[in-house]
Amino acid sequence: MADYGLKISKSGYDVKTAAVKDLIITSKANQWKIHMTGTVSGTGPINVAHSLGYTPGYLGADYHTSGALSGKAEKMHVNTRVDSTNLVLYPPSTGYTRYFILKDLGA
Amino acid sequence: MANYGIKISEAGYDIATANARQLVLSSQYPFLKAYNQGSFSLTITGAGTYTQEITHNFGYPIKFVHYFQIDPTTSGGRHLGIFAADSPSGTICCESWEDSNKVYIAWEDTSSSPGAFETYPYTVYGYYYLFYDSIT
Repeated sequence: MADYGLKISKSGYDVKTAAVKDLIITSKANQWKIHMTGTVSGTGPINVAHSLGYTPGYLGADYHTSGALSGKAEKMHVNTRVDSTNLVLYPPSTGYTRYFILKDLGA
Repeated sequence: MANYGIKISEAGYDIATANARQLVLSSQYPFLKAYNQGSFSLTITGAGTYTQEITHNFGYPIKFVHYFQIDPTTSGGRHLGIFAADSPSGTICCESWEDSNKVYIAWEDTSSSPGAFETYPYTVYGYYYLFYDSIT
């Protein structure tokens, strides 16, 4: 059976024997790939079309630029959601939402 | 001191001077390495906490991400594992925790008005990613 690919170990680990968790990267494990990223502000719900045609994974955070939380980031609004067409965002009234839509499926 | 590895800069940035966030790839920083992904469903028949166990047997706590969706016919999409509702009062939320060999993802329906959030029984669908990477 063919055994080929790319792997790089963390400093101090032998790449030939290192466990996967001790690798920087290995082509045997999928790495998340970012499809698109951006920021939105305003009143939600705000649809961000992703054009993938399937329901992808996503990540992000809310950033506050004024108010009591100015300069801080926190988790996205609880109603944030994704389907096969849009990521639906609810930016904070005192800032914006940074989002990352992944190429990878939301499982 | 040895200085070696791989790095690729984003378009428009000089690889020799780009900082870490201007790089597409750098072997200086570990990547999240996906172990597997999957899905499950939980049938919610009344107030309570419903837990799905996912076994990986790595012997250390791992990084993971999960999403939830309530009945696809009545909700608009998948929520990152931060969903919570206060409707009409009490707690509807998803939770997650782990030990060295398992990830636990739970749906908590502990509203003080059971059934007000969604008529029983209803189904919630969970989607998860597990990574080889340790949280420690």
